[in-house]
Amino acid sequence: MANLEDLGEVISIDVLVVGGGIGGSIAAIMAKESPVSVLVVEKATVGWSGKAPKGAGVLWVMTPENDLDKFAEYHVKKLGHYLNDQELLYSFARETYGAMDKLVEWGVKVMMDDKGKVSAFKHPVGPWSLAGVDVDMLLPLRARLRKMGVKIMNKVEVISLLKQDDRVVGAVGFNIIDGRFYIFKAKATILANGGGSYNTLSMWRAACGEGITAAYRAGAEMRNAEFANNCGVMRKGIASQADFSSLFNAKGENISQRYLPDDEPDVGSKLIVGLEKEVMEGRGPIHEEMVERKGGRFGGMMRWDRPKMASTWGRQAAKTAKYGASSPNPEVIPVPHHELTPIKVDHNMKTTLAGLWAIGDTSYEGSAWAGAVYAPPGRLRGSGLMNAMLSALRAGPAAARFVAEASSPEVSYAEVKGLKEEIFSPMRRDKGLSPADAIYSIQEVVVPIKYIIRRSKNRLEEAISKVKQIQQRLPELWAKDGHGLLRCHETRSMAVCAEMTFRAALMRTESRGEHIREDYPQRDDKNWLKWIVIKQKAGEMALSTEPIPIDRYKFKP
Amino acid sequence: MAGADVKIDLDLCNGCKICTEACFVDVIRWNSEEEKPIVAYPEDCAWCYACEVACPVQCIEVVPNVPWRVPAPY
Repeated sequence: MANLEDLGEVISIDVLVVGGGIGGSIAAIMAKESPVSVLVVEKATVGWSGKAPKGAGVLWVMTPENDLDKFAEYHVKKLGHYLNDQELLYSFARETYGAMDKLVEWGVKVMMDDKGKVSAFKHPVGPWSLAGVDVDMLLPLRARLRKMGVKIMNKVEVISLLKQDDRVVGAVGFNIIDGRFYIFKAKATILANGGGSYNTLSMWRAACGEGITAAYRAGAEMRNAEFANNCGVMRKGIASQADFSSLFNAKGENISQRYLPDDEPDVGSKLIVGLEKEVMEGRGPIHEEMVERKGGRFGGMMRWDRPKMASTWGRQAAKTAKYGASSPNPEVIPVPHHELTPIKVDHNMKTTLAGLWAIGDTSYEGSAWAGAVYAPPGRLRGSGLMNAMLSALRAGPAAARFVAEASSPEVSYAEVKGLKEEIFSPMRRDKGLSPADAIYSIQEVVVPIKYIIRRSKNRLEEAISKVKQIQQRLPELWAKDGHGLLRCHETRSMAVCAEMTFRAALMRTESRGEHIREDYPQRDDKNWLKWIVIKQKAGEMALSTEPIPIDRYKFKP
Repeated sequence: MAGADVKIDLDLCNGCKICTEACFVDVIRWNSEEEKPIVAYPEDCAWCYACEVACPVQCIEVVPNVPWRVPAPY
């Protein structure tokens, strides 16, 4: 009689949290407030993983002085362009300030003002505020997890979800150091393992959409995949982030001003298309010049004492000075970091599959509160961290409530056996396609502005065709150890993410927000007040639309 | 991607393992016999410098293998 235990180590748990960054850590804390067992499985190390410790430590907040209606109106009209789920937008916005108190309660170093309240600076352009934490915020959360008795497994990568009919009942994965295979039987599963990026830039290097593509293969619906074209500007060579508001062409003209008016709250596709135009019309290369800005969009507005932040960013600056270009005005190029965040979820972050929730970067665009903009951060800096927190605050308790009613999972031996063979297949080869080469070829499709930002039918079809060709070669991927095996699966995930974004972009025959179609330059509310939904059907990527319930919403075009 | 020369002064190293935790892309592994870190996959270093900043005895220096290699955007 075939035993599951013969295939690998079987771990039964009430709530499985896949990914232990800021979202996963908070979801686990919240779930553990109920009498349930909780396990966080993380491919790196909890306390240090994901993007949170690498970013600016800034959170979008609505203080009591900020006007909710003004914010919602601004967002819907200027950022989300009527593609927002306005109900979720409002309810999230209401919760941001109180959520900061949870961080304080959990021992995170939150910036406070001299009156003992959460310190918040009004944004220079938009009707919201920004709060701050120091960048080691995951360590107090980890201490809390340990204190509460949440189990943690590091260096374990989850690859596939397990199904029992239409319900998700856990996952399988492997330890990247010793190659051990794990079978997690879980009553409830929360995906918190990041967005789909393509290794193009440092902070976005870890998450390659593995949770997204696992959910997709399990039959979960995706939404807003076309809005995955966040593009930063980096100093060529050293790859450090340049200031998008300080860009000049070879003639010394300020092109940040030319393509991004001062009342825009953040970088956007219009600026990126502008950079490309300047260079293609012979006015390149683009360089960065430090300019005096009155207040600036972000410069100088936040005076916080954050020792970890200072040492982290100070080290970045020192490396740039030492290894970057010697010119004081370094050349700058746009480099997309995308990232795809499409798992479709309801207001409690529940996916379209029973037993599965998706939070943080896995579902920021899929929840639709941000609308027609790549999110995180959705041109609303600091909303990545805040979205991770707000979504976790809902999903943790929701998963725990589900556990109370859920039956014990039954996992099929045959299903797990098949998955195990598939997962380890790259190790049965001793040569073939290397992940590094495959990733570079994917980058050759997702990096060029002409495919990912300045979209058109012909070029999108070309991009899809190139991605399909790469997908056909992926069965040749090979690995000699757990690290290489992880890279193989990250690569496979990237190829599916790229297809989702390009197919959705091809379907949306209009321009809206950050989705720019050269062949359909106008916004088309008559035909396109809809969300594009993606679902796997008979092994193929099937696209459909869902009308936006605009009549229920406050702001209409 | 481009990788880096991740230099660890093993004489200064105090065996705290923080570098193996701080790295979010599995560049640094742990040698449990010698109780020292191993720079196992320097080709995957993403130049975040988290290991270097976190090391309590400052025995790590990450030298990025400039230039960062990514296809041309235009």
